[in-house]
Amino acid sequence: MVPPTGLKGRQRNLAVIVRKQERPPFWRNATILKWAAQLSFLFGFIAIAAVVIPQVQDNLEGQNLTFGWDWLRGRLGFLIREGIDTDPDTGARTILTGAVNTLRVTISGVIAATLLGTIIGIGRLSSNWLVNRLASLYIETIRNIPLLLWMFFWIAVVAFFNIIDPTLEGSVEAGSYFLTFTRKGIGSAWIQPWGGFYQWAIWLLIGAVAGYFVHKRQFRIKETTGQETYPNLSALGVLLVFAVIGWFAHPVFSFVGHGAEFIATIIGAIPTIGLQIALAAAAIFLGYWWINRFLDERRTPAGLAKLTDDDWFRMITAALLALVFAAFFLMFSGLARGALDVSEDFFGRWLAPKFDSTTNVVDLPISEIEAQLASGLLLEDIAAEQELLLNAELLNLSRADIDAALASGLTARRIYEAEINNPDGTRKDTNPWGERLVFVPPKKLVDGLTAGVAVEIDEALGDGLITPAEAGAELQKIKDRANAPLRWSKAEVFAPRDGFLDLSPTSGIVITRGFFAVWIAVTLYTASFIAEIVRAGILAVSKGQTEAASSLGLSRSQSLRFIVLPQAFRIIFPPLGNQYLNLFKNTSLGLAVAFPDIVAVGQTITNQTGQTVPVILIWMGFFLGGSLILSSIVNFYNRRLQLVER
Amino acid sequence: MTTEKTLGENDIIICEGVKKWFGDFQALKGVTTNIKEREVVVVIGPSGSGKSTFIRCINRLEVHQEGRIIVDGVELSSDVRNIDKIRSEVGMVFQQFNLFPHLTVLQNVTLAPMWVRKKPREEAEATAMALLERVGIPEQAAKFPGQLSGGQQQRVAIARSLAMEPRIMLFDEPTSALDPEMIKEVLDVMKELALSGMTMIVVTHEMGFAREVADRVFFFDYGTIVEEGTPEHFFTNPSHDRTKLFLSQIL
Amino acid sequence: MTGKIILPDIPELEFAPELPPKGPVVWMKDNLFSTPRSSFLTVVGLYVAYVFTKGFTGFVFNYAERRWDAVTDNMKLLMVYLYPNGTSERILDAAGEPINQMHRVWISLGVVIALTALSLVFWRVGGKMAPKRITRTLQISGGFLLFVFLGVTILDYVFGVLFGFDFGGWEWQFSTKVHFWTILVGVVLLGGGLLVDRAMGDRGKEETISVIGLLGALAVVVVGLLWVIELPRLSGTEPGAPKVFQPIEETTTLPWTIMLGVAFLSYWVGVGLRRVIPDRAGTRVLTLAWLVSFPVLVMAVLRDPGWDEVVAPGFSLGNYLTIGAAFLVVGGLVIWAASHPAIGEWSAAIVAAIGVAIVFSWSVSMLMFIRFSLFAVLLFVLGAKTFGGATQVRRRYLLLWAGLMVFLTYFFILVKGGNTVETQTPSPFGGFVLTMIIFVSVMLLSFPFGVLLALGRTSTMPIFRLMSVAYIEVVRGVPLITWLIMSIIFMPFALPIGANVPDFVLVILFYAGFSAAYMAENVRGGLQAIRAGQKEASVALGMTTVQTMIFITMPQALRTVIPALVGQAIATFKDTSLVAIIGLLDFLALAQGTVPGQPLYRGSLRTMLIFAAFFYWIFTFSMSKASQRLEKKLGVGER
Repeated sequence: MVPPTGLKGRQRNLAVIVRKQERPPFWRNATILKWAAQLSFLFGFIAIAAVVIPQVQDNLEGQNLTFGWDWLRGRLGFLIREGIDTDPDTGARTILTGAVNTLRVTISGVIAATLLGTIIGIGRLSSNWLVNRLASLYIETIRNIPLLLWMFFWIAVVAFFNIIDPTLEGSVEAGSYFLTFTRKGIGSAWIQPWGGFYQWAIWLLIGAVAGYFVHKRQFRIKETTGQETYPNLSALGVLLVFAVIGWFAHPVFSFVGHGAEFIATIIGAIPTIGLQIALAAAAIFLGYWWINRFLDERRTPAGLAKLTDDDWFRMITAALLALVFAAFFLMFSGLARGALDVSEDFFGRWLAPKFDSTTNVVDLPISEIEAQLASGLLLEDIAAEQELLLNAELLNLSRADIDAALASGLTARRIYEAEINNPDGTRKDTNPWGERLVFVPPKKLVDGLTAGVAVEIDEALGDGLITPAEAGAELQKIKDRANAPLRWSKAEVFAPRDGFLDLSPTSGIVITRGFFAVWIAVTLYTASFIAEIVRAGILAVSKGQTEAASSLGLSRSQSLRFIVLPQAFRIIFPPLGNQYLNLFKNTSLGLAVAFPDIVAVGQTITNQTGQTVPVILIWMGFFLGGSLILSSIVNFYNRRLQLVER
Repeated sequence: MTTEKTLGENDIIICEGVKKWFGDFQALKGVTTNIKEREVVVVIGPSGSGKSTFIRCINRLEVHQEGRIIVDGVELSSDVRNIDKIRSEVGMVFQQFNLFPHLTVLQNVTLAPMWVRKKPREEAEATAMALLERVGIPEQAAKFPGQLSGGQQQRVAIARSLAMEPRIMLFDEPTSALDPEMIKEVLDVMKELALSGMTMIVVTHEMGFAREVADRVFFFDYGTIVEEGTPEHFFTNPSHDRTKLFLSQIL
Repeated sequence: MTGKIILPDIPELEFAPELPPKGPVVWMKDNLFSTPRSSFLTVVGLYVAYVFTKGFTGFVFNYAERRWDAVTDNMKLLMVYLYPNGTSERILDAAGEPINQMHRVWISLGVVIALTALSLVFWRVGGKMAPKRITRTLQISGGFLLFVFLGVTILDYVFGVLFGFDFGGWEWQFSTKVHFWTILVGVVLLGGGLLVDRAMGDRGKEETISVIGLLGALAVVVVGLLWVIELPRLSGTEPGAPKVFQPIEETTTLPWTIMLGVAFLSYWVGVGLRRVIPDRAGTRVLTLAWLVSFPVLVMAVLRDPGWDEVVAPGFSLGNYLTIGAAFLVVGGLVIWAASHPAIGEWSAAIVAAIGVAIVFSWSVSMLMFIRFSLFAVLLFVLGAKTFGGATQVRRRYLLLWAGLMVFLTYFFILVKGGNTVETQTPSPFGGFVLTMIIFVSVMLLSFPFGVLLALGRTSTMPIFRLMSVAYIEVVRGVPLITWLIMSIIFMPFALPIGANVPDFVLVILFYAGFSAAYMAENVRGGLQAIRAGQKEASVALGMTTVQTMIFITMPQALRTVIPALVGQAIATFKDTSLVAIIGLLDFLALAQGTVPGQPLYRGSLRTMLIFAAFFYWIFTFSMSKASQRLEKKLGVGER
């Protein structure tokens, strides 16, 4: 570098008095002022929180309510209308049921809304006047009416279709249907996961992975040599082969269940404090690693570059966060305890039983059941007797007591009910057996037996339409079919004792009125927005593209598939993700139509236990977590789409 | 280059060892120079050499991390009072004109004098009209920037800066975004300004302008001043190899 | 080189352009049956339209308990809930007569209408529309009526024959007379529209009809109909019919006619005023009037504050007036000092002192009035440097302070001064009035807060940015209904005991906070659309960051963002219905729950839902159409 000429001389000739480099006073220093403003703002915020939080605690105590998480373990005592667990044992399971309900509506809504929205969006661009106007009409009508009003509307419509009275001419009778409406909801035939489904799923997984590699290989060959190797078909073929093998060979993977149990016992053996220490160490390590990486980015060959105050702020925040989290993990064992409990439950109580090939609680051979049927008992009675026997110890009844009672003419059912119910028929309040009572409905007698079919068999036996031997044969058939991973089941309508018609919970798929109202309202509403997005996306692909494509000789559908839709998709994708998020949040309106989503369930919990703040925190955690996951997925795909461009 | 002016005695801008990083990229690698009052300095150099960064440091649009910059006796530091004072004495004209599209031409020129120098409206408007006449477009006063051509917009931008009565004017490639037929009108305004005795630092590729008006030319490369000298020295007999290479590419 | 081009001798007729083929048959061929696929789609579309029309009309009309009188009888309930209208037997005045305060509602409505009319004038709303659009609307409505009343019957027969099953006829509970008249009206509309269109030809495309004139004519027609048509109602001799149900014609025809008169009068006064007052001054005054009218109408007109302790225990008018005057004087002095150009570093000291005072005021029990006034002083002192300078400017600034202080005093007196309008409910607001109050309050409150959040979001200062991002992401990630539930069940614990804040105020605050997060994202888009060079140029001229924000960044950002803001307003309006879930009795709650729950109107749920849907639809559709017109207007490079 050539030094500039003659500088030294000029410097000495300065006629201007130059102030020495000094720090400006703090009340004029721009940097300090900026940080003072920010910190005082933060301080003011914390101060307000410090005033409000004790006040909240005081007020809560004044009303004899507490803030705590114990209710997560205890029984809350109310039933949920629908979900994976309608009679949850713990508060945590209640919340879980609500959350799963929300997710069920969300996922089915997202799929349906995307399909419908795309169709309507394309219809909006159609040159056929009628289709175009109908699509417009749809969008304008649906979009301008509040979603809540739609939900009320659809619930009223569903009531319109409700067929209640089984004594009415032409109304629904007990039996199997493809599609039926009862007071419980809409029943439809469906394919159900059945015996050994999860083991079969593992086979499918292996097949998918193999298919992926096959696809890659075939695709590579096709690209390099140009010959047609049908990569998609081959991959599909591989998958099918594994599916067929797995259909018959699924018991092979039952050991996974034992593996899960083993993992559960290991987790159970981990001390809470161990996990706490591990988490704290992880937090500190993560902070250290982040700071290191941050500094590395700023390292130049000439040494560490000058750090701006923004950089310092980030590093200090990272360090603080790491320390705070570490302290939090060490001080509060609840989180670690909860995590250990949940994982143990997951592996031991949820995953392991899924790989258990048998679903029946009772281990009676068919011949024994047949014999009992022949002696005049019904399936119901047999089940009751088994129930009694299983719970004998809990109920403090000995075998001799039971035999004596049976001999005196009481049915097993009456004996059982006498033990657990009050004289007026209500369940005894002080039920010390809690979850340990085993309930044996008739459908648990034989693998694959459903409630509806059990009732049918009982009725047929009672009316003398079939013999016990025939019933036994039927039961055997059912049991044989029980080992198939999938089962095609129609909606079974049966009439429990009170005479109303109900859908069998183990057959077909039941869409309750609440679910239907929420799902269809949310689907139609979101579809109208998606239609507009799709339309805008397709329009944004300039006309020149289609013209260029057709001038190259591509047909209309080819140009659509290769030119227009890929480009339109890139534009459509981010707002589409946004609409999915909106759908996810809109399901919370199920509260208004008695659909037990997480908000409705939380509301009930608040009313029952008075725990407002924990429930609010759970809501926030759930929705924020869901939003975060969904946004990450959208961003990930979005970035992949963009990378391809440049 | 003919001059009807004499350079001032004082150094109005002093830079000592100015260094600036963007992240880990060093844009200025120690710039040391002095500029006298009423001097016209033209800065040339390849893109990415740091010349724009240099002049943006002078009015604190960029903050230098090492070294000292002293403008009109006031050192640029994080002192709030100094920054505002400096900015009202140093005017800047941008490559993209950066006129305010939602205000008329007249409002563009009067906004800062009214709200920074707190001048009453009539006085500000009178000054504005005089300046618009000086740059040659008084009839456009009521129009919006979007209705003017590029050359006219840049002249409005110059008038806007002059309305603050600055002692130094910085030009960041003022004609690079203009169509060829409009470059001349802007350069004419700048020449008139130079002849009237304004201290100017101009970053440009217009070598004709440099030859005619500049007192000194700096050649910037890789974040530092490689060579400086009078225009005659520069264009007829540059000393440094890099200078020669650059000039051969553009002349 | 000169020369002439000589045309060959061709008779002129060959150059005359041909008219394109026209007519309904040609149109159908082009639009409905152009390709086999299109024809197939037409048939499918017809089937879908048929099924839905039949299903929908069956659902709405075809059941035994159609209760349109539920709508008309309860109209007052739906609009203002239990506002005293002289029929309650429990709310009596000194003489034992039922109190009637409905004039307050009509006055408020009148003020809103007058302001709207004036705004239409000063903001030059309207413009012209082509007659072709009107004839098209007539044709479409005529066609629609014909399709529903005639076409569906025909399709019923056609599809029955085609698909071989018997649809069992098309049973309505409308008489043949109604059928006949609606078909006739449909034919008139469709035919008339077509004829007028043909007659006008291309002239129909020119924009000659004033939109305002059209709206005015429509308004006259609607009000005229009120005088003429007898709406469905309870016969009045029903045993046990409560007197709160008053027939619409008796109670509202005259007031609505007066409202119409007010609208026309205000419009003409506005036109006259516009010749005298410059547009800019007029719009400024009107904006101020709108902003002030909302709290005044809600607090002072609909609510009738009392000024003494009988109505509002613990409230002393004298106290408030004194405090207001004190702030006016002392604050004025401080601001006058702070706006002096030579104040220099002392302004930081003043700001710090006020800051300490604010923190102190929030940590001890103090009147909200004092706390807010302190904030106002702080705001004005911070802005003093920007808006100070010449003496004339400072005087204007001080005048602004005085005005604000007067308004704040007035507002807090209104809020604290109790309410003498007695209703059987804790607050006099319900029904559509409550919906509108929530909507307007949320929009007014969320706008400044949203702008602040957007500024924080795009700030270079890390803490502000982090806090803004955290706020926006958390608030937006959680559904609105959970926030509303939180405001009802949680906030009462967070407030000091005895603070008697009505439910709907908490709801409004939380809703505004929610809406502000969305507003922030919209404004952020506008802020980021401004080229960085703008800020640099402004800063290079010596303007402070605040000045740049106010004069350069914000005007441009907000202009870009207005269409998105209107979209958000529409969404907010729709979502106000959510308060029905948490127990506030707004329009939807009344329509869906209260009215069908009345013993006389059991079974009117469907009717009420249809009416509510239609009601919301009118508003949101108008707002979105207005937004489209606004977008077009703004997009024409005006400013």
